[in-house]
Parts: sequence; C-alpha cells; structure tokens
Amino acid sequence: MRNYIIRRLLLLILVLWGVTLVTFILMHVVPGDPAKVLLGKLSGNEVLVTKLRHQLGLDKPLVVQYFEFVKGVLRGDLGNSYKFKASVMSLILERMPATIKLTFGALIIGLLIGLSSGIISAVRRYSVWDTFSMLFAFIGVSMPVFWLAMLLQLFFAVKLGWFHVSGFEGLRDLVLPSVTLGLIYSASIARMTRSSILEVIRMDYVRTARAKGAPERIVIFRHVFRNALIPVVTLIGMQFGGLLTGAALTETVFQIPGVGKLLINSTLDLDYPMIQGGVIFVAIIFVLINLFVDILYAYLDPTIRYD
Amino acid sequence: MEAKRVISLVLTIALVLGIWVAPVNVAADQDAIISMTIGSAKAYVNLVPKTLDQPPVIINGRTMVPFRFIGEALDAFVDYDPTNKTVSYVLEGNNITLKIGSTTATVNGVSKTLEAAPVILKTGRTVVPVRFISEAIGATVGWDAKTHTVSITFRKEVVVIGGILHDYNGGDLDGFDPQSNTNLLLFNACRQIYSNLVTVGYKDFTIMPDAAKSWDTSTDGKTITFHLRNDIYFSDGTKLIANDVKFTFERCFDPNGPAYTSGVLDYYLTPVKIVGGQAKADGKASAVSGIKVLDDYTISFTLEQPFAPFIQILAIPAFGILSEKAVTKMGDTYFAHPVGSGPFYVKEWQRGSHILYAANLKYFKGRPALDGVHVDIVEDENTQVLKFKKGELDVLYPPLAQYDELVKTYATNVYKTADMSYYRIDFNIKRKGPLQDIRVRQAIGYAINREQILAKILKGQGYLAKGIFPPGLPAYNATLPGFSYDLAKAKQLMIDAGYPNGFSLEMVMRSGRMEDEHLAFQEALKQIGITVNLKKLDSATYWQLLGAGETDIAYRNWYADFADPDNFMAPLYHTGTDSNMGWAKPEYDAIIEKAAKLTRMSDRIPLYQDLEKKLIYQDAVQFPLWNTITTVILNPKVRNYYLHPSGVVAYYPVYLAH
Repeated sequence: MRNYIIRRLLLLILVLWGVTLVTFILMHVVPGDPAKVLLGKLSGNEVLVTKLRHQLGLDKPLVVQYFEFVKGVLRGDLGNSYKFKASVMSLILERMPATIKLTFGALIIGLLIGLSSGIISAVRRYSVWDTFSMLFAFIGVSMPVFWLAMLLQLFFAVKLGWFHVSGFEGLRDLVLPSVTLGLIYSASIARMTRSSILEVIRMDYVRTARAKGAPERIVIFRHVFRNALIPVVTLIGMQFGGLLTGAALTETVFQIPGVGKLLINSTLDLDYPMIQGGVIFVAIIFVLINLFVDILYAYLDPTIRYD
Repeated sequence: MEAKRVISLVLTIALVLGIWVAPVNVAADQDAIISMTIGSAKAYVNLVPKTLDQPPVIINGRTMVPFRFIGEALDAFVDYDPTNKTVSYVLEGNNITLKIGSTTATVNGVSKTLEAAPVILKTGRTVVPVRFISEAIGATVGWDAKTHTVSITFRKEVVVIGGILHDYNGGDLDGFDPQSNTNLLLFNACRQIYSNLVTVGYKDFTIMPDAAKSWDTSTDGKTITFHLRNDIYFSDGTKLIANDVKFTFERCFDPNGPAYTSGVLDYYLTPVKIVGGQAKADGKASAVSGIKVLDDYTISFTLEQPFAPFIQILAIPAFGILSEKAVTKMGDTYFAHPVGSGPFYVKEWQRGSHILYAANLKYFKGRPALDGVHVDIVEDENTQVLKFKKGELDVLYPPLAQYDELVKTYATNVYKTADMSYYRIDFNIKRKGPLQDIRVRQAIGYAINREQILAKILKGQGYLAKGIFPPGLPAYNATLPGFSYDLAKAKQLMIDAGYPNGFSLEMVMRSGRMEDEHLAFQEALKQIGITVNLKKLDSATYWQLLGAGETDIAYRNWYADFADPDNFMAPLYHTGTDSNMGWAKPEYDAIIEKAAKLTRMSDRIPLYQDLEKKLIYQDAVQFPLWNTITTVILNPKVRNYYLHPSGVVAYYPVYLAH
C-alpha cells in the first residue's frame, strides 16, 4: 500500500506538469490581452497597454515566460495576481477557510439526506417513500443552484428572518448556503445509493444472509450497505473535489469569500498567474481525493488490493 | 463669575472683530431661517444674502414661494419630474410631492389639499403656496405686513452621532492604493480614507479646500503654491507635511510605481506637464524638479504652461495624499494596508466579502457622524435587493429588472441625481465600408428611437443628449439643435448614400452588460435594412477588439472624473488616447491642447463648443444618446447620503436618524 501511495504521489508531479503546460498554451491561444482587461475603458491607449505589458512581463517571448513560470513553481512561488497584486498562494489560502467550512457543511447535509432517503427508497421500493424521495431527487438534480438559493433566501431570511440573506460572519451564515449545496448534492447521492443498493440486494450473499435468519437490519447495514457504498463513495469524492474548487455560483449569491469565485473571476480577467495557481490547486485537490477514494475502496471491499 | 465674564468678553471681541471661527460641531442643533420679500430678488438664509431668480409672488391673494430655492436652502433633496409634472422634496425622511396645477399633494403617501395649486412661472421656476409647504415640512411661517416679508423657520433635526451605515459594492476592490486604478470602486474607497490637496462638494464639483487651506497662482499662471493645514494626522499617528505631498506626486511618475501603468499618470498628470515630470517617468531624474517643498506646510507645483483643469484634477480620489513613511514601510503590500488622513480608515477588509470603515475620530474637519460604514461586496443583484428588503443594507441602487416594483414600493425614499455621463454610438470610420459615408452614420442616428429606449429599458433614468457635454458642465451647449427620431429621413439618407437595401455591420458587446440596449439598437437598424451582427463577448475579448478598433459600431459611455470639458475632449478625441475609430485629427488635437492652456473658462468654452459641433454635427463620428441619472433607494433613517455626479459618494456627511 505504501509503495502504491508513493507511486501515485510521484504521478501527481507529472499530472501537474501536464495541466500547467496545457493551461499555459490554452491561455495564450484564447484571444484577449490581460493588460487590456486590466485597463478596461482605457484599453484603447496603446502607450499604456505597451507599458503595462512590459511591467507584467507579457512582452517577453512565450518560451521565456513559460520557463520563468516553471522556475517560480520549482521555488514554490506561483507569482502575483495581476488584479490583486498579492501572491497567488496567499490569495488561495486566505479563501480556503470559507471554502472548507462550506464544503463540509454541504457534505454533511448532502450525506444525511442523500444516504437516508436513498436507503429508504431502496428498501421500501415502490412505496410512497420511494416515490417521494425519488421525486425530490429528480427536482434536486434539475433545479439550478442559484434558483434554490434565492428561494431559501426569500423564505428563511426575508420572510421568517431566521438568517442573514448573505454574508459570512458567523456559523449561522453557513446554514443557507450549506443547505443549498447539500440539497442539490443529496439528490444525486440518493439516486446513486438507491440503485447501488438495489443491485447489491439481489446478490447471492444477501440471500444467504437472509436464509440463515439474520434480522433485516443486520442484512441491510452489514451486508448490503457496505458493499453498495463503493460507487457512492466515488460520487462523494468527486463532489467533494467539486465543492472545494468550484462552488462559485453559491458563493456569489451568498457573498462567501471562497475559492470558487476567485478562480472563475481569474479566468474572466485573464489573470494568468492566478489561473495557473488555480489549476495547480484544483489538480492537487483532485489527485489527492482520488487517491483517498481509492484507498477507501480497499477498506470497503477487502477484495481490492493495490500491491 | 470672573471666568465667565472673561469668556464672554473674549467672545464679544471675537464677534466684533469678525474673527469668529465656527466650531467644528457636527451635532449643531440650529434653526434655518429663510426670509424673502414679495417681488424682491434678495433673500436671506440664516442672514446670508442670496439672490432669487424667482421672487415670491402673490397670486389670488395667496403668497407663493419658489419651490427649489427653499428646498435647497434647507438641504432637501429637490426633484422635478417632467413626465408627471410633479415637484418633490425629500427632507429629513419626509417626502412631499406636489403636482403642477393641482390642489392635491402627497405628504408621505397621504393625500392633502392645498389652498392653491403650484404653478410654473415665466422664469421656468415653480412656485408653491407658502402656508402649505411650510406646514408640510414642519416649519413655521412668519409674515411682516409692513415690509411684505415672509419668513420660514425650520428647526433642523439634531445630527445623530454613531451607528454603522450598511452600503455595498457590486464588485471586488483590488486594494486601497489610490494610484493603482481609475475605477469607481477604488475612487469611492479613497474618497473616505484619504485627504487631497483640494476636494469637491458632496453634491457637485465645487472646489473646496482640503489638506491645503489656500493656494495662489503666479501671475504667469504656471506656478501654484499650496498652503497646507498644520493639524492633519495620518491614521498611523504621523503628521501630514509637505514632504508627503511631494512624495505622493513623485510616486505617480515612478516607472516602477502603480500610477505608471494604471492610467493615473497618463490620463491625469501627463497632460498637466509638471516641470521635470517626464524626466522622472523616463528614469532620467530621481525627483520631479517642478514640485518644490518650501517649508513643512508650503509646496509649489510649476507647470510647463498654464493648465486650466489642474486644480480640478487634484481633487480626483487618485491623488489622495499618501504617508511617505507608511508607503515606504509597507512596500509592495501597501495596497492592503492603507494609511490616510480622511474621515474614515479601513478597519477590516476581506476580499469577496466586505470592507469595514471606522470613523477617524481625529479627522481634522471633525469626526464623522457615523461610527463606521460596512460595505458588503454583493455581486448578485437579486441578493442586493433581498438584503435591502430585509434591512441588511441601508442603500440600494435598484437593478433595472426590478426597478419599477422597487421604486413603487419605496416611493418615499427614492433619490435621483444626474450623472456627469455621456452615452453614445461610436462609428468606426477607419474601417473601409459604408460607415465611411457620413449619410449612413446620420441615417443610423435618425433610425434610433432614443426616447423609447430611455423610457422602456432604462426606466427613464436619463436625458436625451444633444452633444458631448452633459448639462451642468461649463461647456454644455443648450442651443444645439439635437436629434429626433425620423425613420423617413433615415431611409432617404440610406438611398442617397447608395444603400437602399442596407448592409450588415459588426457590433461588439459584453455578455450580461447592457444587453437590452444592444438588442434595441439591432431592432432599430433593421428598419433601415442594416443587419447588426452582435458579437457577444467576454470582457477580455471585448476590450481587445475595441482597443484595436475592430468593430463597426459600439455602444459606449464616459463618466467624467472632474467637471472640466477637457475631461471629455482629451480622453475621447485626442490622438493616441481612447479613439481607435479614426476620428482624431491633428487640427482637433491642437484645439484640445490650446483650450486646456487657457486659464479663463469663458475663453475656453467657445473652443470646446465649436469642436463639439464639428465632431457630432459636421463629422458625425458619434451619435449622442443620453446623459444618465442614478437612482438610489435609502433606508428612511439615512440622512445626507448624497449621490455625486461622478458616482463617488462621500460618507462623511451621512448620519442615521433615530
């Protein structure tokens, strides 16, 4: 197992090199000049644009720019954001706390609702519960996140006055955005849990368990649930990564200083160092989560071995 | 007893000698007394003489007084709505609306009957019955039958000290270094935390002293000497002295400094031509020889030639005075740790979330009434509205999508101010094609129904423009003929130009920005056979194409940074600035440069108005659309939140009533 993890981490370096190179090429292929974006209404002024391009180092040949970037990364320096002037690393780090809080908030709600309704609708298949929770899941999957956010704001913040409409100053402010994201995610978790359980429930070993007279509770939780979890864990892992890197819409609506909005805006602003930093960040998150999920597989299903 | 007598003696002498200095006391509880005489242009506001363009009159035995004058004397928000023919005050939370020719008025949403209907007289001024208006605002009326003098006494509300104002920004600020950007967000922040040499009024562009208590200009007009106050401290406790001013302006010319590439140098200071500035910018000198510190509280600027807008430029928030010590100490991180000497300082800043300004209790003009201002960063328009409805925000700039509903719901708390703005259609005459024919450009203008777009899409928030300069700017020309919607004429011009069947055009636009107007233009031009291919772009590509002049037409706007015609002419029409559409000509450059060198506005105005006629009527390089109005809805307890024509709001005078 240890060798496997080391191998995967070494692979991470290759992944990072690959994504940054692709990003670098893409950034320079798409039209638009960061200097002109920064200058906005003054971008017609060629003198100013030239001066700014020089200050940002954009007038150097691409190869030189790329090697300077790589050199910086090797020294642990991702450069400074064009827009914010501060270092890319510090900008991402200062937004991590909000993102992490939101991610866990959403995940807890998503898991609570998603897993329980998934299990109930699988076990009580074709019951009212099943219909209700699958209808709920169907709505959740199709509802745009900003729409749900607005409804929650309108009802719980404006009408009932229980929460702030937006802002991120206390734990209470975490509730509405977490519920928004959690509800959306719970929908797909519920569907996945249901279908996975229905698949496992037909397995021979489940029938065996029932035949030997094990109580239904034991059958479901010990024999079915654990085996049904593998695809669900994969889904949760992907959602976890997505939450850590890209809850931009929810962040915008609820005024949360998170990473998602920072990364989205950096691409719109053509803030090259910020984009590169963001890509590295996203790649690291996803590689680590995938690794973690793979390790979890081995724990959930002892037949899986990596060595 | 003895001490009291000495004090009163000193006070009497001070009064007699006229050396009475008004104490800095924002909590002044005082009466405003307006006295006017029937038929006389002379009026007094708290014994200060004023001239009336419409004296009070007696109509059918009723005393009628000028509506606007009284409102402005009492510091009310005065508005005239030409479509509904109504005049209104918002004064200390009371909203009074009267209708011309009607004896029914509305006071805080309740209908009241007037003793006589308001009328518009020949002077264009509205007069209203004195009895009614005084009672409606809670003032008392006095009448002196001997002299035919009417007096209105209004007890002003006591300014409340304390409280936090909750405002918002629609986007993220990138820091607090005044020289690092020229956008409104930064200007707004700097207006609160820095002092300038001079500043502008809260509602208009009147120049007022700030860090400089006075200034004088040499006879040749080239050297301006500023005398600084000696009681100004930065928020880090150091005293503001002339060296800080010198440091601030020299930093603008530093090739490694933020002003060098932000436009602050190129747009505001380069045209001023401070002696030695260019040498410093070129790296040939370490100091700017034209900026001289004469002593700790005196500094002079020498220009290569007189430059009329110089003083106005100094009031731009970009020239907030920096603390040399703080900037040197913080280096590259100064933008996040600003040190100013303005009415507020930055207590907390979290990108993407909020800014918290706290009152500078040692502010040299007296502490602000507010304890602080909490500025939320709320990008989502819907969240802005919900936050206001819930009371989390005291201020709301109503988004167009919900404008009608909001303005109706909060009718008594709506405030409007004309911006110093100019919206227009730009024609690219550099590109080969039909637009090179002036008749085509004129036809486009005649095909656009501006009234309709203004009313339906912009909800009436603007005035039709006749030329480049908006009303209120010295060079505004009311005598220009203007344009009207005339489809037949537009079609004829297209036939004359040889395009009876039209052609197609490219027009760039940013996605999500003013999309409805663009669609309306597209519809309008379809009427004369022109197919407009709207290119919906992200900001990066939009500015790229626009900067390179790669579009046929564009819908654009300009908001003035200072109230001088030069601020419209130089950035929009001079060679090498914003214009990449082929309008600039050496002869026009010469006029712009010449006009800026003249010091008397009366000498400059004819030059600007003449150039305006050439550009708009003779060359038709742009089609003027409108000058906008900004609308804000305030929580009823917010007082003195003045919208400024530049869009920069000062929090200093604001207070929250109980």
